[in-house]
Amino acid sequence: MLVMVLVALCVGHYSMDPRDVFGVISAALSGGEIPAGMSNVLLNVRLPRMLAALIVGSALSMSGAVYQGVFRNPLVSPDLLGVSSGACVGAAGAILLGLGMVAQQIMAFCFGLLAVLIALAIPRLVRNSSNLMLVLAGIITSGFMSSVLGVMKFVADPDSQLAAIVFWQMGSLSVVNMGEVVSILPVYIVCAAVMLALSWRINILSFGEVEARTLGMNIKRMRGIIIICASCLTASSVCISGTIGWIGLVIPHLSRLLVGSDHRKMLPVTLLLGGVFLLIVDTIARTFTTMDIPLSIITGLVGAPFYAWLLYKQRARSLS
Amino acid sequence: MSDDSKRAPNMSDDPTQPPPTASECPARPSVASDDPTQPSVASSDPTQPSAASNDPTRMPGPDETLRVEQLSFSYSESREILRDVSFSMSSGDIVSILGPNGSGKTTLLDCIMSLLKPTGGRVLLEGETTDRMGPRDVAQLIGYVPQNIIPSFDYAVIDYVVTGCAPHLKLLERPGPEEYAIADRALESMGIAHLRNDSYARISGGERQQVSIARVLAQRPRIILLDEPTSHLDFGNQARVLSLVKGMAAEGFGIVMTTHNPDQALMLGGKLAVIGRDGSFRFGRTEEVITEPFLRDLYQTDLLLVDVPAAQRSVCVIPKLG
Repeated sequence: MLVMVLVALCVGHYSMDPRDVFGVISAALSGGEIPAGMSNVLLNVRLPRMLAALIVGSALSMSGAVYQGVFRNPLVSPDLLGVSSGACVGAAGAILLGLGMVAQQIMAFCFGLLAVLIALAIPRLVRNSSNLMLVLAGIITSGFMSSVLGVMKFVADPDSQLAAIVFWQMGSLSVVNMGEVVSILPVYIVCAAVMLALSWRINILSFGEVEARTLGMNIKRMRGIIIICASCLTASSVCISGTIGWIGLVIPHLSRLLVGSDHRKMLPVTLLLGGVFLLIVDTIARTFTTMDIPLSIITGLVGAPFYAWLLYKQRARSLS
Repeated sequence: MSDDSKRAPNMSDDPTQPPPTASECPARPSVASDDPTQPSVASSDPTQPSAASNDPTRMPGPDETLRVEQLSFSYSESREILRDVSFSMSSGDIVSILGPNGSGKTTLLDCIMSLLKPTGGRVLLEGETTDRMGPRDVAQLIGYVPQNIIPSFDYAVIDYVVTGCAPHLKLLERPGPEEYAIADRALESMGIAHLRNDSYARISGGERQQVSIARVLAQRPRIILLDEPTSHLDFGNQARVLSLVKGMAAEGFGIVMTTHNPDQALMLGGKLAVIGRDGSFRFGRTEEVITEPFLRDLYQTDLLLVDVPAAQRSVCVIPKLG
C-alpha cells in the first residue's frame, strides 16, 4: 500500500523523483522552504486526490461487504437500496439548477441517504420487515430514482448539463480538493469505526433473521444502524467522486477469498484492498492518456473480468 | 457479565458428555403438571443432581421453566393457527410436538421464543411474561437449534459455535478467550472437537446438526427448542441426534422438539403436545396420548402401533402402501 501511495504521488504529467516527493513532504511538515511548482502539484493536486481515492475505494468496498453480509447475498452491491441512484438524482438536480460544486455534493449526499430512508420506510408501511421486502423496496426506490434521473437528463441542456450529468455518473476524482476530503473524513471515520466495532454482530446477522433473533439480537435496530452507516459511507464517497461501479461488489469477494468470511478479519482487509484498488485505478485513469478517463470505465473493464475470475476460483476451491 | 465469567470455568466440571445409549439416562420423574390450570410447582425436586448447587445456569432449578397459557395465534382473522394452547414444563422435561404439515408446530416454537407475538394468551419463562422481556433476556433462557441450513457465508465451525455466547455479551463486546473456551468445551462434549477449524458449510449434514447443538450449549440456556432436528439426516445420525437430545434433558435442560415421526416421540418418552389439523391442542404423557386411533386420525392414514419387546417400547409403522 505504501509503495502504491508513493507511486501515485510520483507519476503523472509532471513526473517526479521519489526523493523530491519526500523532500517536499518533509519540508511541508517541518514548515521549511518548499520548491513552489513541484509542491503545488504534489500537495494541492496529487495528495488530495490520493487521499480521496483511498477513502472512496475503502468506503465503497466496505459498505459493499456489509450490505452483502446483512442481506446474506454475496451478489449484492452497495447500490441495493438506491444510494447511488439517489445521489445521481441529487447531483443532476444541482447541475440543472446551475448550483456550484459544494451544493452539488451536499445534494448528492442528501438524496443518496433519502433514497435509503425511503427504501427503509416501505417495509414499515406494509408491515413486513423481512430482508426480501427490503430488497424489493430497494428495487422500487432505485427504479424510481433512475426514472427521475431520466427525466432530468431529458430536460437537460445537451451540450453542457447533460454532459456534466453523464460525466458525474461515470465517476472521477479529477476535481477533488483537500477541503472536500476533509469534509467527508468525519463521516468516513465514524461510520467505518462503527462497522468495524460491529463486525462480529454482522457475522450473526448473516446467519439469517431467525437465528440472529434467537441469539438475542434486536435485528431491526441492528440492521438499521448497519445499513445507515454503510449508506452514509457510500453517499459520502459518491458525493465527491460520482458513482463508481464494481468496487463494492468485487473487493469484498477478493478479501473473502484471502481471509475467509469472518467479518472481523474480512472488513479490515476489505478496507485496505478497496483503498489500494481505487488508488491504482485512479493512477491509471490519470496517467494512461492525456485526458482523465472516468473511473467507472476502468473499474468495469478491470472489475468484470476480475469478478469472473474470482467466481471461477471459488468454484474450483469448492470442488476440491 | 461478572456472573458469566464465574460460570464459565464450571463447564469443564460438568459431565457434558452425552450418554451414548438411552438406557444410561436416569428416568426423571416429571415435575410439571399435565394439567396446565394447576399452579406452579415450587417444591424442590429430590432427583435434581447435586451439581446443580454450584452452577445455577447449567442446572436449572426444579420450578417451572416454561409455561404457556391459553396461547392463540393467527395471521389473519379468518384462520386461527393456534388455539388455546396451554402446557408447562420443568428442567429436564422433554416435550415433543407432533402435528401434520402446516398445523403450526413451528409457529408454536416462534411464539415461545417471542419471534412472533401471540394474538392471545401468554408465555412465561421462569415465571416472567416474555412480552416484557427483551430479545437478549429471552435468548439467555431459550436456545434454538434451527433446521439444517447451509449459511450463505462460510465460517469456521468454532466461529459458528462461539456465536452462541452472543446473548451473554454486550453490544460492542466480542467473544474473547473465555468465550472460545466455552465453545471448545461445547464441541468436546459433542465429541466433535476435531471439526473445530473445518468449514461449517462443508461438513456433513449430521455433523452440522451436532455443531448447531454445540452452539446451543455454548449459549447456556435453560430450555432448548429444536425444530425437526432429524430432518435430512440418515438413520444413524437420527439416532445420534436423538440420544444427544435425551442426554441434554438428563443434564437438566428443558427440551421442546418438533417432529414428524411419532416414533421419535415414543423413543424419547416424556410429554407430548399435539396440534391437530383443526387447530385443536392436546398435551399429556407420550405413551398415554399415542394410540392407534389417535395416530390414524392425526395423519389421516392407516398406521399400526406394534409392541417390540427387543426395543422395550411400541413402534409406529405404516402397514402397507396403497
